[in-house]
Amino acid sequence: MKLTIGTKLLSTFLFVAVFVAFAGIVSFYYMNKVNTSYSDLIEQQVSIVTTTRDIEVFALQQTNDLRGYLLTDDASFLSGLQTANNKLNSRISETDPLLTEFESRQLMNELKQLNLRFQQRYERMLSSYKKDHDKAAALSLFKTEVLPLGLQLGPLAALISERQQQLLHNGVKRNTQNVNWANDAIRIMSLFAFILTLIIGWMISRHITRNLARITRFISSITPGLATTGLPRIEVHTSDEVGAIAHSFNDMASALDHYAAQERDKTWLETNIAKLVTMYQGIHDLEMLAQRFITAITPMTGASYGVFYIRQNNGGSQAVHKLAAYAYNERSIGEASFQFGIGLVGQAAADNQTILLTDIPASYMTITSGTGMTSPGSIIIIPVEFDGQVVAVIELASLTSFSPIQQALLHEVLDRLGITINSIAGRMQIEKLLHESQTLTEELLRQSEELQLQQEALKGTNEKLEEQNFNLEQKTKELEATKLELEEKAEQLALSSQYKSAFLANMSHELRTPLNSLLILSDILASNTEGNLTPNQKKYASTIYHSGNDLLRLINDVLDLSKVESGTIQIHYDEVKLRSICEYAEQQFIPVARQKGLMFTTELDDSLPPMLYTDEQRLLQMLRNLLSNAFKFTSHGHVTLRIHLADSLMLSHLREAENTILDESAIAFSIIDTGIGIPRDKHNLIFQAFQQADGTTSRKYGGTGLGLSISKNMAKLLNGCILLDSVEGVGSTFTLLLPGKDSLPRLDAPLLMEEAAAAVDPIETETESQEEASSSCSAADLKPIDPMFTGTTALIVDDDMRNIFAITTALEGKGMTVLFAENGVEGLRTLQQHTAAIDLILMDIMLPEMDGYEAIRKIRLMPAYQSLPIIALTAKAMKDDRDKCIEAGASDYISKPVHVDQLCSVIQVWLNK
Amino acid sequence: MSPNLYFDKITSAYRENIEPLEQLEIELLLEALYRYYGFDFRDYVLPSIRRRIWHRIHAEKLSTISGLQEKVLHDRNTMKRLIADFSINVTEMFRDPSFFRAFRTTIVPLLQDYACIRIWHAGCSTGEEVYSMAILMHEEGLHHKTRYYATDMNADVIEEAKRRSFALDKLQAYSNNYMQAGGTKSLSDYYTIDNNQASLHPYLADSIVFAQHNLAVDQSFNEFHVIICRNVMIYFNSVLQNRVHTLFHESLSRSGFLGLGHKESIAYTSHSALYKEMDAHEKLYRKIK
Repeated sequence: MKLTIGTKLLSTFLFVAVFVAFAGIVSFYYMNKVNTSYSDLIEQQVSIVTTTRDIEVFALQQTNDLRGYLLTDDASFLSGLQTANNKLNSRISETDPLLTEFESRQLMNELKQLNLRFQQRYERMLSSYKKDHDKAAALSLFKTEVLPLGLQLGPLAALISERQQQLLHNGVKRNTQNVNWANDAIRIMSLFAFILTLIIGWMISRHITRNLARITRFISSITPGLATTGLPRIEVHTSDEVGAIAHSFNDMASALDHYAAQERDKTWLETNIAKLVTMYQGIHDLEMLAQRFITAITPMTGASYGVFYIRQNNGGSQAVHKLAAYAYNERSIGEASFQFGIGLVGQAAADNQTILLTDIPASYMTITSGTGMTSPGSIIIIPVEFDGQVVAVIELASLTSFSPIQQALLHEVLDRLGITINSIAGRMQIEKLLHESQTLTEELLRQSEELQLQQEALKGTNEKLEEQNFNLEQKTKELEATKLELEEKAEQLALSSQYKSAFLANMSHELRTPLNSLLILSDILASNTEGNLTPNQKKYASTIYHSGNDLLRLINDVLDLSKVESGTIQIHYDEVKLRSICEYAEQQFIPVARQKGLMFTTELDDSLPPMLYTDEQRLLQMLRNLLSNAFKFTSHGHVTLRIHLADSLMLSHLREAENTILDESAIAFSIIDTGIGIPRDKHNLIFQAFQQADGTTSRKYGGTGLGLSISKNMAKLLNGCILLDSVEGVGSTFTLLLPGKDSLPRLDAPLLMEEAAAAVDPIETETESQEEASSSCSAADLKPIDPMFTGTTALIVDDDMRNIFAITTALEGKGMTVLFAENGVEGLRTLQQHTAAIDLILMDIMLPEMDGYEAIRKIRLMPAYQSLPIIALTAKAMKDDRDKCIEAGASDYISKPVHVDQLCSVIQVWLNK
Repeated sequence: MSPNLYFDKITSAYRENIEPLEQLEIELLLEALYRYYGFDFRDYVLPSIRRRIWHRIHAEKLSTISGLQEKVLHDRNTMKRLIADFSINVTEMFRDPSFFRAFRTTIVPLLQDYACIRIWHAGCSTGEEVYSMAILMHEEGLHHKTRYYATDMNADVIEEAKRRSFALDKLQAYSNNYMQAGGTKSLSDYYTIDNNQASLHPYLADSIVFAQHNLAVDQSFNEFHVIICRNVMIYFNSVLQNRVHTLFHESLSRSGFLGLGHKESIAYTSHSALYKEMDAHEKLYRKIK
């Protein structure tokens, strides 16, 4: 019979419900019954008791009323009597049907009879009373007949009441018994129902749980380990839901077993794929990839032999080359590469198709180990593709055949391998390129550094050259300075010489005046016109006169010399006839020659021009000096004046010695004597003033020694010179050379002097100004003027006058020109006004109107000032400020307060070009 | 094929332009320099060393490398000039300012807690770089606890570096570099100009140790928290680069920092796995192994 758990439960609960309902109905019936009888009883007895009480009362009342009437004759008592009697009767009639008990009924009947008799008697009495009005009779009647009856009524009613009370009590007692009985019945039935329900429930639950527990035990006995070996099945004993569960479980178990098998395959695939994919990581070249791959995949697929071929394009032909192998035996199988389409490997590569070989003949190949060799059961050749192109071929040989799952793994893995091969190849390519680029970059850097080095070396050389150049310039400058100094000294000397000459000239003049009177007076004395002098006195006077004359000549010479030296001598160029020069010389010196016993001749060359252009007076003076010298130092022989053209030997000597404008047209006046001659070492000396060849005090020959000196200077003034050729003891030849007629007169020497002085002047003033400058900045304790700063101009834009003053003082002290502006706008204006002059700007940042940043930006916008050094002056320690400065275009910055040394350093850095 | 082999393959591409005879002469010259004088330039990059050799040959008014070899072996001064030619002393203050900026922002915060910091400038040349670093550390408040080791193989440049003075005409460029490198003050706070030379303040050199050290042959001499070696190894081939990297790795303290030149990289050396990139572009690395 198929009894489901539901049916079992339903029937059990139905049974229990019916039983409980029955018990309920029974108890309800009894309870109801008890209840009804009890309330009826109470109600009946209570009304009986009440009416019997009323009867008692009314019985008493009618006696009393009767009595009252008899006593008082009051009619109201009569009506009261009537009412009470009526009520008593009604009460009796009411009660009578209620009485069920026999004894009570009798009593009631008795009461009814009694009352009836009572009524009859009092009515008789009353009618007799009405008739007779005999009170006493009435009363005695009342007393004897009526009253005992009336009095009997009360106790009778009480008796009935008491009887009823008794009945009530009995009823209650009976009822309580009923209730108790009903209670007992309910108690027993409940207990019975409880026990019955318990037993049925226990039986059913036991039946259900036993089956369920069996299944639960069974299911919980399944461990994870069982899942792999397959799930057990449950034996089905029942046909209820538990049996259904067991059936379902068995279905599920078989489904799970199937799924687990699939999952195992899948996991195997995925694990192996993951293993291979993780293996790819960190592989950077194909060889390693191939080796690792073949080493991993061969055991995975149960194969015993594997080769990895990679595709390589050699020009037009495509081929696959062996890159790695597993258990590979090179002796037995020797193919290192296959052309596409050649061999099975080549075919697989060409067709991009897997080739699977089974039933391999024993001679095909062998798989060898230390203990023996065998031939493979199957061979699989699979191409690896990427983007539709075969990139590699894998060949695997297995002793057994390849299972579908192994083949699936191979295909799955090889799909991914294609991508990996491609990415590694790409990576290798990139790495190679990166390496090349790295190497090239390094090479570039090396070359650039080497070039930089060479450039620096060149720069160094250049600098050295510049330095040398600079040194040279410096030397030149020094030389120039020395020259200037010398010139200055020369000028000073000339000046002092001029002073000396002027002094001498003045002196000479002052001397000449008294000397003249001395001469005149001594001459008068010597002529002795009055004849009063002794010959001796006359001789003294004559000596005074001659000495005076000597003195005068000396003074004249000194005067001449000083005039010549001071440049105050006047030169009057004119045409001079050479013939007349000769004539003058002869006229002057023939008497002297005759007196000294010497021969004097003058010679005039034919080739000479008839005249020359010079100052005749000075020429004659020079010749006179030279001739008198010749005569003075010649004691015998002859003196000759020869006028001729200068010979080339003479001129070439002259050109070597000094700069001269004398040329072939120069005319030479040679004074040749046969005198004592002059030693060679004294040749120069004799031309100096107050000098003779014999410089001792005991010199033999008189004379001032000024003649030659004057002559030489005069010759110079006339653009000529005097040459000396002398041999001691043989004679001397003095030659006066003067420019020929064609030569133009040179500029006068004093004029030259003036020019030189004019050239010197600016330097002098400059040094003066520098001195002033340095003295003005000495208060600021500054270094002396720096060539780096001189001539440069800086513009300071700052609103703090103290700052401007401090910087200006410092920079001007260095020789810099400083302009200033108190705000950005003014700064820009100043900059535009001085366009090219400003070399550097010092820009304060916190400025009114237009701040420093803005000003710098504005300056940088102007094309001309894009590289003008701008040094920003920033508040201390504000990094932000500095960044903003640089952003705005400042070249550098320094913090306030500005240190003069730092400022100067920075300025030098940025002035450096 | 390992990356280094690639590298050598590429460098050999330059070699292809060199006549076998010239190649032999160069190798003999370098071998002679090493065997006789102990200077090892055999692992320097060939194209560069070749240019330097020819530069010296022309300067000595010679015609062949063998001629130079003879002169170098017999005349110590020629050798000195050749060695000087080999050392390329191109440097400037805050060269590649972004490097110093990156150092300031990336490395300096990590150095704050060190009780003392040792920095090695390998190939310091004329000292601009180590002074730049000193200025940087000074501004970062680390100068007082930092000791700098500035080394170069060329004794002359070390002498020059000790002078702390630089040509005036370079200061404009240096100032610009300084600003770009994130300087917090002004470069002029650190120098005074005197006689066309910028002299750095002496306190910057207080804790700088200058010494002669040849990366090609010498060993480590201390443990450092920071090693800076910029644009030095570009003159080395992969063998010597590897040697120097090993030397640096040995000399770096745990979690020490390595700074290379802009154009250099640790990426293709066998040491790349030992470092973590702190700033790939500025070539700042941190030792992790």
